[in-house]
Amino acid sequence: MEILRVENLTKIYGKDAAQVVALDHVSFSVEKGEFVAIVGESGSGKSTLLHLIGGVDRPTDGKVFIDGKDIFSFDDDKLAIFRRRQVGLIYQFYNLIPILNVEENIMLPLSLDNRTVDKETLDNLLKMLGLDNRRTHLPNELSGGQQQRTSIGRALVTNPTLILADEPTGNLDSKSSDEIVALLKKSNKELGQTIIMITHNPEIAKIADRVIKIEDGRIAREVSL
Amino acid sequence: MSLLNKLTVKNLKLNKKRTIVTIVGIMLSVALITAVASVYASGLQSLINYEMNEKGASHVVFYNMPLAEVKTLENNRSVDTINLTENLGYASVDSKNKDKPYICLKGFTKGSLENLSVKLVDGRLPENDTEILIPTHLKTNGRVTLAVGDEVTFDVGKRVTVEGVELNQQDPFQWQGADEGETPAEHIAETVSRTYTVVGLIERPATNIEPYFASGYTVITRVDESEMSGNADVYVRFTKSGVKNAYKFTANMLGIDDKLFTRVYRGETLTDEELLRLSDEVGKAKYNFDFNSHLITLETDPLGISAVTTLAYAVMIVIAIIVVTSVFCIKNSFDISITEKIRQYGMLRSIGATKKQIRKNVFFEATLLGAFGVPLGIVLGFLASYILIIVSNLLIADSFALGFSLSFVFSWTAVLAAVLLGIVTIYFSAFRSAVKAAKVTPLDSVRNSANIQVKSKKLSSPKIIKRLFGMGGEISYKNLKRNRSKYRTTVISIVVSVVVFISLSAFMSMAFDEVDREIERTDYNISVSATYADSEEYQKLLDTVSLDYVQDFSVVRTAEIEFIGNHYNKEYSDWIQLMPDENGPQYISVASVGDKQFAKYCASLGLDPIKMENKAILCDYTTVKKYDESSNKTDKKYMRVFDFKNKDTVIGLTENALTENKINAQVEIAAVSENKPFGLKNWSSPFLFVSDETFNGMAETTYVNIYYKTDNSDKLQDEIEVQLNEMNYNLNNIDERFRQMNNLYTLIGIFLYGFIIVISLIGVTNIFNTITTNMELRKPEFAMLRSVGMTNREFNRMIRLESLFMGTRALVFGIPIGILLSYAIYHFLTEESGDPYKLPALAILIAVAAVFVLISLIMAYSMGKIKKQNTIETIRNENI
Repeated sequence: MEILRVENLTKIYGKDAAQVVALDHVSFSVEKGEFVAIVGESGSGKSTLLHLIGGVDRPTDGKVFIDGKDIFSFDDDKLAIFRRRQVGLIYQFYNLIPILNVEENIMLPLSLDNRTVDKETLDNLLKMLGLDNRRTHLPNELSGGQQQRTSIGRALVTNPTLILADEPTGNLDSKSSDEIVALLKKSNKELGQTIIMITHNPEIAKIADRVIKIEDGRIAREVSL
Repeated sequence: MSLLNKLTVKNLKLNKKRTIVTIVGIMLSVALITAVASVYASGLQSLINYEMNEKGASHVVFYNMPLAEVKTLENNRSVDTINLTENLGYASVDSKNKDKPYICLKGFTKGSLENLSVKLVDGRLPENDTEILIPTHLKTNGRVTLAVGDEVTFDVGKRVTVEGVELNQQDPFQWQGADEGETPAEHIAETVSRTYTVVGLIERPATNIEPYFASGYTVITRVDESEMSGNADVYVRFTKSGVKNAYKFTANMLGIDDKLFTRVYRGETLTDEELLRLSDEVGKAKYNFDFNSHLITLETDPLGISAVTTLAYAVMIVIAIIVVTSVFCIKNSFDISITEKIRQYGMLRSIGATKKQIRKNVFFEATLLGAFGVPLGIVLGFLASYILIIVSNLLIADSFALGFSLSFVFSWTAVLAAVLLGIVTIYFSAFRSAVKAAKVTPLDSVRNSANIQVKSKKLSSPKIIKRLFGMGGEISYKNLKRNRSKYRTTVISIVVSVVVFISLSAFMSMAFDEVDREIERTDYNISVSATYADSEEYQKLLDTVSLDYVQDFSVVRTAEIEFIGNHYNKEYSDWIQLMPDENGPQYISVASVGDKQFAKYCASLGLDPIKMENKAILCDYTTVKKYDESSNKTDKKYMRVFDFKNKDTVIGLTENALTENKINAQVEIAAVSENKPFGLKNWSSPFLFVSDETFNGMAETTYVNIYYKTDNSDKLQDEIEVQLNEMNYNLNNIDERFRQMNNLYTLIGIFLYGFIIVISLIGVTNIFNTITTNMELRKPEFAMLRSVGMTNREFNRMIRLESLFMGTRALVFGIPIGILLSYAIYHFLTEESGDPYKLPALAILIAVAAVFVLISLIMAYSMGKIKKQNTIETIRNENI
């Protein structure tokens, strides 16, 4: 079942002489339960692609369908609501709120929706993240890996259709990196979570079902593993 | 509470100091609004109280109403209270006022004594129908001497005209024919002799009890309502809702058409035809009546009174200034708070928070701050207005001898106004920040430094800065430029405070100069002027100069000599462009100052007073003002008016103003002097000063001015008042007036300076928040500067320079605008007096000092915090 379809996605920054084409008519689709890695050099356009899929930025041209819905036909607010229900975002710099503890940071997307989650589900999630004994800690009391696990928890808690991870291991040592990658793989396998991950580390990309290489804003190569 | 709101609370707690300072800002703003509204409400209530004290609490009086009718009134829902008085009749007394030859005996119930304008001066209220109160003007106006404790018998009867019509207090004394004061057309009939004891002295009752033209002095005894019979004067006070229809109600009571009646009392202009119809209607009225319209207007529609309207406009303008200033300052606090949280908002957006949620979040923050600031502000505002009113009463007690005093009232309207305006202020302040926060895109959280966009060209600093202040100087200069908009608000707040302070200080000093000038121009403390009837009264006046406390005095009588021929000085006629008529009459005043003073005056000029018979000292130096229409300026020049020389003789006529009797006057000029005798320093017209004897030989007058110099003007005033008891005179106590004016200006000063201080404090909260937050935001930058080896000394120098740059910028704008404004005030207020403009130098100095002290203190405060930080920690934390 196709969960994501990207059609002719184009993003141009700047005007006239200063024009930069970040994405140039990119098209591909992702099936439910797939783990896709997007690789490419710095400035190849992979982050732009991820932001567009996540609906945090709007394209110059082209369309993105998530679960059959054209997300850019939504206005900003509707898009925001769609995002918090259907898309989980994981960033390189975690982007946790420093004055909220682990549990609160994880619960944030649900809270925005005035929803809550039963204690058991939360406990299971924290256990899976290996954060069950850190639930009341503030971000600056955690290691980088723990912070990133928190942000993965935040992405998973809403049971999103799609998880987008932007260089989730870019800021971590190799041990923590392995942990994070394992965690993502686990959620993909056990929960059937669809994941799109950006990385420039070929080793990490290997764990994906499929690797898409972006060069100069175009898809250069697609490899299924 | 949702997580989002909890987040806000956490953020507020985290920035405790800024939160508190913002709350203080809101509190001050609300307090100021509350205080202004409360003082206005108290002032209005004080006017109502004053009116009720003067004329009683009743809204309308029906005269001579049958008691049966009163019953229907009592049961009416619109009526709050009714007070009855009974007319017991008139009695002749030996009054000197021929239009007021009676006393009018009235029976007051217990309630009437309490609620109508019965103001005891001495003694007590009557307790039964053999005791009476007498008014003070029975003695002062009628010259009938009765005192508390006296027993008196009146032959009480009805006032009837020769035709036999009964008259009352609404009818003036009736005279036969057109020539008033000759033969009375009325008398008192059916007299009964009654004896009373005087138990109290009261002030003259208000006009709704005794009209100005009434023919009898009101004498009041006590009656019981149950014993009343026949007719009564009915004083009606309406209920709160009833008073709104007071005029309609009254018209119905009077049995006349209410439409025109209501319109005319509402102050509408009627056509001639309507007026005719109205007077027809009123002629048909069942009773005589009298409104306390002023009270009705004050209670129903205070803005109908022009003074109140003016005040209301002033209040609105002041409140508008407060709201605008507050919005300006508090806005900045929100702005800072939002800028600081840009990344947080971006992150919230990226996990799916809607714009509306972010906006609501900012307003939630505003609501929280308001929930603390507004109630505190209201309490503080009422407290401040309470204190202000007490202080005002102390200061104005002297000025309003009429018994007007401010009374504090707690006004729900003021609370409501403060709450509403407070909410408006806060939401206006938060509005822009809310929009700004909602505009944050999710990408802003990913890009690390989205809030600082620097263009290198804008940041180039003049080389001189680097040469003068070194690298630190350059960094601080660039910083001010980078955070231009943030510092602009700080600079503007300082500018506003500085401008307001300088201009208002200038205003105050001009006002006090005015008082000083007034007192400087007179060399006496008290003056008495009087028209005397006979030599006995004149002697009484003269005797006042030998009272204790009198140190010097002049007894001045003047007359005008009319003479033929042109004696104007050429310089004078040229200056005022006068073309004198050679044969026309000209005038010069002649004055005597009392023998003692004249002798002193002669001695000061080296003349022998004994040889001054028919000789005069000419004093015609004066400052002549000339208004030039083309330049709109008043010029002045000091010169002589006449060309008389020593040994010249002035020959002419004086005229007695009363009898028109003309007397030949001839004096030889013995000296020309610039100096005038004591007491006449501020008389600017030309004078011939002569001895009393010479004056008596050439003029007649019944008017005298006496000037006293004393070191205890209040005591002397008392003594003069005792001495001149029962005479008509005019006393002017300069010291007291000076004191009153000083008090009045002090009061204005308290209000103005209070206003400046609070407005400035609101500004200070803003400055504090801007500077401390900026310091906080620049922590990493400071940490970096230190990590590359900037020493403590260089660091402090850099911060001091930043204060200097900011303060200088604020003062560069603030001082010139302040001076300009103070000149404008000078132009409108005192330019006419011809005094030169004085630069408000002291105020400027204070402003400069205050600005630098303030900025340095705040800088030092936030530096103290930053120095404690760990350099590495700060750099590391940046990425969380």
